[in-house]
Amino acid sequence: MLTLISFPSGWTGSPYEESDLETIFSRQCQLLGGDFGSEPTYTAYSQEFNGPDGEFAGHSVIIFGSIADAIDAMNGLVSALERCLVELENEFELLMRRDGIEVNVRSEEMSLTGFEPGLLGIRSGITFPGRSGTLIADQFFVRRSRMIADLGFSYPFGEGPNDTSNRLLSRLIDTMRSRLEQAQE
Amino acid sequence: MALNYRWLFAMMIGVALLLAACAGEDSDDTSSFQSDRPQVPGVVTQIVSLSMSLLSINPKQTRRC
Repeated sequence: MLTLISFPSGWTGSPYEESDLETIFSRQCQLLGGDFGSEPTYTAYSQEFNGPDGEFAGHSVIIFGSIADAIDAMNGLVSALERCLVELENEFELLMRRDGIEVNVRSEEMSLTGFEPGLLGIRSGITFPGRSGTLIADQFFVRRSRMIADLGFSYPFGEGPNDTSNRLLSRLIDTMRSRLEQAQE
Repeated sequence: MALNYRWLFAMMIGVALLLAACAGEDSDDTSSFQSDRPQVPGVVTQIVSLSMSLLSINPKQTRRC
């Protein structure tokens, strides 16, 4: 797992807290709600990490019963993202609206260069009607053996990626991948 | 088991609270930040403490008010 030592100085960590946050997706998109068909055997969550300028990072590792199950899940994620991004946006907006907060969410699959094939990335831009500024949040998925790791990263409100954040994300993804490789040995 | 979206919702809530707090400052209502909190009940209450901590450690965002 990623730990605080994976981050630059100035970042802090706080314990992950379970949530009963429920997302509901259609049958063809249910994988985005975490229903992989083949139930993972274990999910481990990292601490939640806060950057000095308002960045946020969270990380989890999903362990499947077999490599085949993990490959199926990763392939399913890829195809779900090809056809379910609008549903993902709508679900985020609906959940926030239930709590009285209006947001507009737009998500897209990222084209990632400089990384191995198979690294999956989604970028979401969240705006608040009547307010200026966008909250940009990225989520990455990578598979090794029977494990899928995800990394969520959001930028300071009103800001987007820059050289510093790109370098940090690149390092975090490399670390996440190498930890998975160590775990499979 | 669910994909780990909690962090994303926490961030959205955090920004919404920040914006509400900023709006309160514009109207000279210095207590608005506290009084806004009950307006985000439900599932959000599970993660609002995280959002508050995000705001409190984030002087750069606070300055934007």
